[in-house]
Amino acid sequence: MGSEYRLQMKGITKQFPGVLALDGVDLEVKAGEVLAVIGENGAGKSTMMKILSGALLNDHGEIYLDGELVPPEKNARERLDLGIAIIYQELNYLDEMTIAENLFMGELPVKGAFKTVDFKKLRKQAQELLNKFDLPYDPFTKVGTLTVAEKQMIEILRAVSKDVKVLVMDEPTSALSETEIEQLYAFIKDLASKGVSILYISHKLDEVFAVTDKIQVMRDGKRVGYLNTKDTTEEELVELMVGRELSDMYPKEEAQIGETVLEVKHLDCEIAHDVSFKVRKGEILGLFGLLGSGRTEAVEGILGKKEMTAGEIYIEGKQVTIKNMIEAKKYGLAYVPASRKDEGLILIQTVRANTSVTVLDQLGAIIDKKKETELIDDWIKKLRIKTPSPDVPVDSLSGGNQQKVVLAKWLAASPKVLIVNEPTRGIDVGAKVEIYKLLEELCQEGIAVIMISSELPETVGIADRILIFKEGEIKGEFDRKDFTQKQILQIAVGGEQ
Amino acid sequence: MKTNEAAVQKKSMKERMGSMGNNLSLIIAIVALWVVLGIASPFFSSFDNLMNILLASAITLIRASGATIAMITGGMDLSQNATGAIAGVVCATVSVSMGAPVWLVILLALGIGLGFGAINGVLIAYLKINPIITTIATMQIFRGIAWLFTDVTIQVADKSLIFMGRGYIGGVVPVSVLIAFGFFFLAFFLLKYTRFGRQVYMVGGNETASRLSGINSNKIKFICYLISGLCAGFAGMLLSAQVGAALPSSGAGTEMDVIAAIVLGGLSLSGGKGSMVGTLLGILILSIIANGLQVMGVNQYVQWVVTGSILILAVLIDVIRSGALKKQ
Repeated sequence: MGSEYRLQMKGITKQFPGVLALDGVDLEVKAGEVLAVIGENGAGKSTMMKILSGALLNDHGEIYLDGELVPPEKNARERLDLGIAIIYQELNYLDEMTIAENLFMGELPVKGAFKTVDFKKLRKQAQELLNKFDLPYDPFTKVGTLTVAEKQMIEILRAVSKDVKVLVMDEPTSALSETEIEQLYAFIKDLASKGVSILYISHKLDEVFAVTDKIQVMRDGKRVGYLNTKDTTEEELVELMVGRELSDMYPKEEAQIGETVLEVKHLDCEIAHDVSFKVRKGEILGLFGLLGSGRTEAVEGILGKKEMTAGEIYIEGKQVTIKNMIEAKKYGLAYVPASRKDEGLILIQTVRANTSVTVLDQLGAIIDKKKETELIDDWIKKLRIKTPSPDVPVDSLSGGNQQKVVLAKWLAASPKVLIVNEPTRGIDVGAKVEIYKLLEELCQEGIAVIMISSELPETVGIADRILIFKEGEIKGEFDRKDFTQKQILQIAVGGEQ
Repeated sequence: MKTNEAAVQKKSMKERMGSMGNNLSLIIAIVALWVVLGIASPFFSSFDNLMNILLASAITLIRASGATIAMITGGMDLSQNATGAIAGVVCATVSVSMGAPVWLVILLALGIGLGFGAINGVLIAYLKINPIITTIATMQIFRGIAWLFTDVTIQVADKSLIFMGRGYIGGVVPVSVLIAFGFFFLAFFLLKYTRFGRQVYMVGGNETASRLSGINSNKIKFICYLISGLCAGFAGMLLSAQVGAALPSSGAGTEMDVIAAIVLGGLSLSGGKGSMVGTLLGILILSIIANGLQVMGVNQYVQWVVTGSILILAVLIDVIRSGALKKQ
């Protein structure tokens, strides 16, 4: 049965606990077309793709491939057989095996009674595939010896080794260099010319203009734009992505800004290079930038979590060296990491244990249970943490309440500087507003807050000052009165200042 | 929001039941075994035999008091018995040939345990070698050291030592059982009520998050192996006092007894979960089964088969309960 579209997704709706992640979203792409799907973090791009691949089940809506309904119960493997393939940000290859083995993993040709691998046939199959796309590699080269871009192409080849109709690429350039990106573009165009439809997920606008035919813009779980690439401009896209006016989501209150608490001079740490800034009492300093722009490295360099290769740190005017979090804590620094699950909390332990962990020293060698309970009740009340008791595993709380526990544990340590990394990631809108309010309150109390975020609205919404990171360096600084989202996003995603 | 809260409450109830549930099912198992074995053999449920069972558990309980703490950090200590063998032969020698007083012998046993525990601690906590590999290696090294020290059996003659190993208080309760419960309560207290215990659970639950919260996780792990060694050293000395002789081969081949009991007690090998009460119940179950089979005259080899099978069954029940099979 024919259809105008190769792939059509209709009215896709997905509700997560407390968040409507997708609200009746449509998406369509023709054969041989490259469609960009863009939007800020949390706009719903990834959820949409997970539903397409079968990794998530949607609540409402249908998916049609060449006009035929894709049954929702089909899993990722079965959808791959239908011709829907996804290449994720983290690549799945085995370094110690050859290109040929990686390409035909799971279906190696076999021979004889003992079903030993037929290497001759394997080489032939792999060579044919490599030739088809003019890739000059020996099929028996170990994948580990290839560059990231080459590995990525092998990964794509693996997807197209089957009869692929729709290929989803999720941020495919995040690990690639300039020239490798050019190679990838050529490859994508070649694939499209062979009739494959490509969904290109990205938030880098220059890439979108370089390689796509159409653009779907998403915001807050909805489609807000569906445009021809050649008929639009970067400005229009940014406007669509940012969208709303700043509502009362961001309860900005003016706090008394005092003297400098923390100063960093010429810090180098991994990709972060020559980072210098100050943060003052009562101020929220926003570090904005895309993933991989060096914000996190800069902060983790300060805290001694990663090795600082150059630079100086001053706390209240005194130069200090910080080797790890134990020392950072002594100097009054607190850090709420981006990943609650891996770095912020000890999920299987109780709310109590997670909250008092930073102040165990004050509770005695034999823990003063009464004092601990008072302290915890206090923080539960102050941060409005919803928990049936302090003695349930923190695992059993909602994302927003978990995040509050991470904040509580650090606030209990009475820090001078609170560094929060993506403080509202994966929590619902109501909880977000509460976190913003809380950060404001802390400023009123004279704490200096550094907030790393990839969400522009929240950065603009509550920061007093914003530093924009791109490719490891600070590329711009704005005071609150000069903020415009467009300008900031333009610096962060591509254009010039 | 209301429904959310209810959901949270429900889940936490279930989880609380889960952690108690393990101990509860162990207690039920103990009672059931007691009844069945008691019917099969009248001697089994006698007071004398109860003391036999506790006596047979004493050494394991002392070792397990240390090993449980180390294993809650996600660690492992297979070198305990070898450490104990060194402590046994050295203490017996010092006691016999130099006539050292009993307090000195005890201090020596503890010191030897601490010393060899420190070796494990440095390798695991600071040099980041996998705990299983480390203690398999040190198990061999320590065993070799015990044999290098002496290759003969040394008789223990000191009256106080013999009393510790084989004596009875009031003619009914074995001294070594009381000592073992002393170790048990210390470990129980340490884990449940102290800052150190809290840190052990935190490090075991998520080492990265613990470190980022300002816990010196290396130090905590190091101390755990000191404690494990300390318990091992004392257990080795007490074992030679029980047997009346110290051998460099003592405890060889039974390294897994402690681990089996601890795992049966509900400790998670990935760390962060486990308790001394669970460990005690695990030890009792294995001792009761061993004793029951012995009383019924079942031979040693069958006992091994039964004990191993029970361990697999227990862990399997845990896997099924956690729903890990369904997730596949």
